[in-house]
Order: sequence, then structure tokens, then C-alpha cells
Amino acid sequence: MSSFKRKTTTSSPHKSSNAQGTRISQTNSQIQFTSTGVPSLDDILGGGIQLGTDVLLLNPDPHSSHATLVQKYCISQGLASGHKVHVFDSDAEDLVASCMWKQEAEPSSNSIPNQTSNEDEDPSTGEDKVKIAWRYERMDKFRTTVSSNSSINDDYCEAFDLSCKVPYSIIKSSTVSGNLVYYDVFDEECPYETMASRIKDVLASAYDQPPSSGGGVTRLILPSFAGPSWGEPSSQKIISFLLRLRSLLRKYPLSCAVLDLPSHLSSSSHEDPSWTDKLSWVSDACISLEASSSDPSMAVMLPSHHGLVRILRLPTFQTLVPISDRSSTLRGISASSSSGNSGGVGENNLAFKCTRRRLVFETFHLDVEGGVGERRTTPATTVAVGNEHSENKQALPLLQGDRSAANVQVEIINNPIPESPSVASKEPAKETKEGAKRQKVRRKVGFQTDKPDIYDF
Amino acid sequence: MFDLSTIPRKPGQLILVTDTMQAPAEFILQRIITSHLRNPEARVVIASCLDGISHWKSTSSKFSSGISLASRISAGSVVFIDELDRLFQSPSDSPIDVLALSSLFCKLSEAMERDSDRSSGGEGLLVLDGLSSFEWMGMPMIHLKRFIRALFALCTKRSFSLLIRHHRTDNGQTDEFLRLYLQLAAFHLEVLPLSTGRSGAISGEVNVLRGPALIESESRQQEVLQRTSAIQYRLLDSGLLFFERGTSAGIL
Repeated sequence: MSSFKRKTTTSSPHKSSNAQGTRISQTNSQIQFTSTGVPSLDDILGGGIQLGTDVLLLNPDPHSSHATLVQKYCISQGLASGHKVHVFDSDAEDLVASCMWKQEAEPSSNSIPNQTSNEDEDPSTGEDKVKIAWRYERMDKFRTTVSSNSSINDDYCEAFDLSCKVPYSIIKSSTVSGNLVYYDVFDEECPYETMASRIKDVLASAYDQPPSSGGGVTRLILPSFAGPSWGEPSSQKIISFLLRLRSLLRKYPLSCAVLDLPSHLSSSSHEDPSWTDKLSWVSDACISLEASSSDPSMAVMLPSHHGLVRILRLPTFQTLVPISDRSSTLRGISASSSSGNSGGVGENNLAFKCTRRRLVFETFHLDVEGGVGERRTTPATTVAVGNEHSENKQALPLLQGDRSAANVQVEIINNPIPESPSVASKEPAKETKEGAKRQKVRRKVGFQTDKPDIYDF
Repeated sequence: MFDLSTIPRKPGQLILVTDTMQAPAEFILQRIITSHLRNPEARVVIASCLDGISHWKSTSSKFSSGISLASRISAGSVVFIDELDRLFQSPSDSPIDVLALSSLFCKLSEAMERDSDRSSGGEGLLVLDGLSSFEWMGMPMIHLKRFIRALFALCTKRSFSLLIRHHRTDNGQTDEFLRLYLQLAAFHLEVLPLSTGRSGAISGEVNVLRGPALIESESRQQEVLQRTSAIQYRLLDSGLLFFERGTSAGIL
């Protein structure tokens, strides 16, 4: 008899009573979450979008549209989980057609999903392994983000791949079954009131009917809310719409909404310095994705990220303190510190980046003096800026050449001078030509020796 | 130990609570309501424009110590008016019409009157939360000012004390609404975030200020009233901790 027991996810007793694609919060059993499609964003929000609340995404940078990308993730996740997805946009069909989808199942799909996180930046293995002090050798590798759940059976959050488009068959079957509905905003006379009453009808028909049709989650997706197709924006109309939406979502607790504002409405302007404050009061979760593409100085500060995340508000529906304060690993306010006895822990700064395959929200740490970009235990890879293109973003050509290294011009008078910067190494002096541009030797983290350490027994 | 229940609630007096996005003051309302409900004959009328009844019920259980808002609501000693829901009953009604305010006023006076038929010994407390949302939706200030003044008169008539929460959004500047409240307030509880930014150990600080409407001779000797020496607090899942400045667990 094999003593080897296979570890499967134990199906919790609550699973059957949940709607599909939802999860009950561990700290408060009244609260249910549904996934946004981005596991790191789910973590920031405390587990996902809380059902019965809305998420407002702000996108202050006019040159990027990361908030729309998050909307697409939400649509894809809704389609994958079988939720009812209602998209309110003038170009809704095109938007849905350009959504991402999961990678086709491969035989190696059982392997750890952490592999995908490494594929974009492969640390060079085999070369110069860094010697780690023995007491730190057992520590976990420094992580900057959370990865999605490893279990295949868990359909809470799918691993979407930006390079795959949603297959037309899925769209067609969802449209036919009534799970995917589009609403055109452009033609309406007073779009705010009309859309609000449409939403009310949608929710009433979904949940006021006898329970055979109800019980599923309804996602309301409003990309570029209050954008050009919604007519002339006014702060009063926006706020009354958001409050109306809130009252509807509270009434039908299995629904949720994700909205995003265009860039001209995403920041406090001169005329209304408290605009973002007001938005945060009337929405449940309010997150601003401040991309660095328009600001070169910020782009230099964030060499491997595309922008900063500013959390303006987190949902406090049915709680006094946002749930993500305790449960979020990315934000870094750990459970032990939230007890009364300890002093608290500060929050991590958060940034996001969009790689070729996915959108990731990560913790952001300032540079260590000396030019190493992130705290690592493996040698820094040379990340070429050109590889990090996303669909929506043009990377600024900040750095010349492939390597993120300084161009050093050396003028030699007589003897070649050994120039390697690594400590206590006996590399042969490198010949340099007069005036030649020379690339700095790649910085190595940690202390290295070529000759055997005298303490090695 | 800072005790919110020592702030006297006299009929016709307004306790104003101001907060900001970084330091929301819902817990103050909950605490004051809970301490008010310690008297079994007390009556409370709550009208909220930003949160619904389910939220109030679930959060009140944090500070319950035996007093549950849900049970009091069903017993009738607490009346909850879900203004958020009522405002948007029919999509055609504009919420910034003055009719919305007058219907709210009628509902409130009806709720207060109903209570007065019952035991006359209990004190009444009227809680208004989220009235700022009317202003943000475009309601003209004149209507709001009249509404507040009328409400004030109504509370004096029915011997209810008033507790209003106002959201400050202007980075320290006083807006019109706040100026009106400050004129009428007997006590002003100002909840502020730490000026140095977010901290894990301290969620914010509370100032208790005396307002111009407080009648000195009538007020009992308030030994526990702090003026501008703020008390810092920390909001936890399990409850609330108050501590003097410089004595939080992170420092000691």
C-alpha cells in the first residue's frame, strides 16, 4: 500500500452553496468575492471584487489604458466562470472580441505556474552562482507578487494569457445563452439615467425572478464610463450615477460592477481639488493606475514597471476595516501586526507592469544604492527594454543599447589598467583601446571569489 | 481612557463628527449609538445616504457588548431610514430635487413622532450620515441649509439630540456646509489622519472641540473632555483602541 497521499484541494463544504466562481472570505463569512482575473489585483482588493460592491479604476495618464486592460480581464474571467457579463460601451463588441483568454491546455500545464513568471526574465543559470551566506540559504526567494493558485480544480481565477485572444466560439455561445449582453451607450439621449434604468432592469430580471434563473453572479462592466460616448460629463451626474449604482448593487448582493474613468476625469483638477476624494466616498473600491509613460522622470524611477498603483479606497461594505488590510500579502500589513499588541507595519508601495503575457501588480521597492534594480538573490538579469511591449503601450527608448549599463569612455595613456569592479578577483587585465566605448562589467550581487575560500573545509 | 459616552447628548444639541477619506469616522457613530442604547428606553433614528441597513447591522456587532442594532431595530427602538435606497426608487426622480429633502424630512419627523408615543422617558438620538452626498450630487446649498435648520428645530421640539457626520474633502478648507454645521454644533469631533502619513500602528486621531452652541452653564463638568490634545486611535478588526499620543504599542 502506498503511503504516498495525493494532495488534492479539499472541497470546502461551502463550495456547493456558493455561486460558481466565487469564494467566501475567510475572516467574515458574510462576504463573498469574485475574481478580477488578475490574481495580484485580487490580493490587493482582499480576495477579489466583493459581491455587492463596485470597483472604480482611475487612469490619469492619457497615453495608456491599463484600466481598460483590467476591464478586459474582468470580462474574460466572467466568461470563463459562467457569470452573466453585461458590457456598457459604444464599442462593446470589439472590446469583448479583443479580450484575452487562457492558454490552451498543454501536457505541462500541471507544472508549477511559477514557471510563467520566470519565462519573461530568465536568470542566467549555471554561470557564477552567487554564494549566499549559510544562514540565509534556506530563506524563500524574495517575492514581489503573488501567483495564481496552483490547483487546476480551482476555477476561481484563470491564468489568462495576453497573447491568446478569446475564441469566437466562447463569445458566440455566451451571447446565445444570454450570459453576455452588450449595451450601446452612444445613441442615448440622457445616457446616465438611461443606463441606470437599464442596469436596474438587468438586475431585477436576473434576481427578482424565481430562483431557477437567479443564483449566478452578474458582472456589470462599464469601460470608459463618463467618456466621450456618455455625453457631456458633469461631476454631479457622475456622482449621482455612482450612488444609484451603489444602491442597486446593495439591493442585489450577487452583483458587482467594474467601472473606469477616462484620464481627464481621473485626477483632481484645478476647479475641483477634491474630485478624487468624492469619487472614493461614493464608490466602494477606488484604485488609480498611474502609468509612467507620460512622465519620463517617473519612468526612470521605475525601470521595470509601467506605473504605480495608488489605492484610494478599499471596500468596507459590512466591515469597518477593509478586509484586505489583513489578508493582502502584497500590501504587507500582516495579520500579526493587526493585533493590538504589536506596533503596526507600514504598507508596501505597489506598482504594475504589463509583460507580453500578463499584467502583474507587484510590490515596489526603491533602488539599492549602487544601481541594482531590485532586491534579488540571483544575479541581476539584463532586462532589455525592448522586450516589454504590451498591446497598449509603447515603451520609451530610455536606455541606449541592450544592457542597462553606463557607457564609459576610457582613455589610456600607457599601460592597460585592470578595470574589473568586482572585489578581490584576479581577472586578467582587460585591454582597452583608446577612446573605445566599453561596457561596464555586469554588477554582481554578493561576494564572490575565484580561488577557494580558505574557510571551506 | 477616552470614553465617547461621556460626551453629553442633550436634546436640541448637535454633535458634529467630521472625517476624511484617509480616516473615516464610522466607528465614532457606532460607539456613540451603542453607548446611547445602553439605556433600554433610548430611541435612535438613523438616516444614512451612503450605507445600507445591512452594513450598519453587521458593523454594529463589532462594538456590541450585548447591544445589537438588529434586535433593537426589530424591537422598534431604533428606526433606520435607508436614504440611499429611497432616493433612487424611481429613476425618473431627480435626486437633487428639493422634494427629495422634504420627503426625507417628513420621514424623519414621522419616525421621531412615532417614538414619542412610546415611553417618554427615553432620550432620543437622531443620526444623519452622508448628507454631503446631496451636495455632491448638485443639490443647491440653500435647500440643504434650510433642511438642516428645520431639522434642528424639529429635534428641539421632539427633544432629540442630533449627531451628524460630515465628510471633509477639501484638504482642510471649510466648505459652506461645514461652516453651517460649525455654527450650530455644541461639540465637534474631528477625526483626522496622521499628518505624517499612513501608519500601521495608528489609524488616526480624534479631537474633541467645543462648539459655539454649547451652553457652558448647563454642561456638566466635563473632566474628560479634551480640547485640542488629540487622542489617537487604532481601528482593528476586533474593535477599537484609544491611546494617548506617544503611547501606542509601536512606540512603547
